[in-house]
Amino acid sequence: MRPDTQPPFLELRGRGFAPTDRLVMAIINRTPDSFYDQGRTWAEDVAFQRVAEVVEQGADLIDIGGIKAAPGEEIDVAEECRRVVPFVARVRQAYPDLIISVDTWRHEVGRAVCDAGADLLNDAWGGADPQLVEVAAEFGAAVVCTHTGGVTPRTRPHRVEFDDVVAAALDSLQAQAARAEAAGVPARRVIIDPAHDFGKNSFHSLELTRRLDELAALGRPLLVSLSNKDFVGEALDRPVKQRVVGTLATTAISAWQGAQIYRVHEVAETRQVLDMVSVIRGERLPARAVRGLA
Amino acid sequence: MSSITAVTLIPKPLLLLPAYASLADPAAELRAHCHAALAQVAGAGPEQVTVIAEQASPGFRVAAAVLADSALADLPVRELPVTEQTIDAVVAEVTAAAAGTALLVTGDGSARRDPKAPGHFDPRAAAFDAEVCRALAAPDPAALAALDAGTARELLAAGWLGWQVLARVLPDTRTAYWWADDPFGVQYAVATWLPHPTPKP
Repeated sequence: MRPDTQPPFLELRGRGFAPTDRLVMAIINRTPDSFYDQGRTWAEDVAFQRVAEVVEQGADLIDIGGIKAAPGEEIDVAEECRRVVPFVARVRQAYPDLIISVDTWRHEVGRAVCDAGADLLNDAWGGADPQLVEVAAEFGAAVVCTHTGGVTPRTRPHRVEFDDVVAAALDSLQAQAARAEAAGVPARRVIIDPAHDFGKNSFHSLELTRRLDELAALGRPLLVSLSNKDFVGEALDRPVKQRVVGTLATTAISAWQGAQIYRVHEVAETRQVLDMVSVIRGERLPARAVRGLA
Repeated sequence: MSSITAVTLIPKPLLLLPAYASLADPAAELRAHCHAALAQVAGAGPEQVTVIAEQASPGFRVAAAVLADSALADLPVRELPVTEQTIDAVVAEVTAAAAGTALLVTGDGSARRDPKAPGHFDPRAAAFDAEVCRALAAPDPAALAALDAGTARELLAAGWLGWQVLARVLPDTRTAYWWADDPFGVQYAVATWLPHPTPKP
């Protein structure tokens, strides 16, 4: 990079992105029991086929996860590695340019997947393993910092309260991001995520959505993981499989307020919502306008 | 029981607070039982309500929300925080107070009753809660006093301090209202106890 060039706002696998770019991160679960897809991509070949599908649908990156977020059977480091590491290697081999994220909080898994070609460590549990950022720095990987209020991984919120959930998220994310930078991860590879529903009830997630612009104002790449979550279901009284429309509404509002990365199950629909918001905001030209102009 | 005219126990989920209201009240049944238990208290004609709850828990706010819509809504309310160290002092203060006090205590059983419960599943929860409910419903003050604080904490049961208070104020009372259920994987109990009527000659 020429010395007089500004580093990009966000950098993943050597590619630069601007604050007005909106990236779709496709969820690829390597679990038998995640809440939404419930083992759909548990068989490796099916998961591999799903990667082809989401790439075709316009995903900018994929997020591979080996452990469901909810409480349940303990999955140790060895089992988590077994579920994700060979798969990362296989995807990396087949897609040399695809940005690969892995959803893990553990530094041992982080090391193994970075070794196998992962570009981003998506820690959904707020830095529960303090060594994860060191691994990201060592491998030149990006890292996601999440606000969880310090809860133990794979626990549910129980009577959690905040004086101001947005203030709490801002404080936590700024501190975690500073820690990642101090460990050697450059700012353009530090992503923040308020972690809707993690250590939070629906009111908290809704308030974070309503005031997402305050997180965007931190000037750091911002990721939101909204897809089919309980706060959407509780807002509309809809079960897990009927939350896509509510999720897309939330996506549009989050996009309007300045989030960059959207972690989703429904790639094609999300791509349309994000492009529509970009066009409305004047950050993207309409695809092809002729009406009234001929 | 001296000046205490009635004792009531209610759970303290945040669901009961107006700040977390939904279009459909998920706690409608619980709320109705709380009001029914307090209607029993009103029948005993108290002049004031004293709420005992753990310091820095939602207990006082939940009690205030429930009282506001209850048969006791017009009575003055006094809040007494309690800690593990101050149980006896707090009970002494309540029993020595002016006559006509309705005592309201907040607390819950285990939040680890099944895989979907907030605290997930602990196989000890069912038996623990069964013993708690038996001791409350009887009432059996000695059994309440014997409940283990450490086990309660491990099982994410928020009622231990409240049960210790009840162990000291329930001797010579009878259960006038009782309801227990776990609609959300947390053991709730709602009860009112009244002093025994004057002993027969």
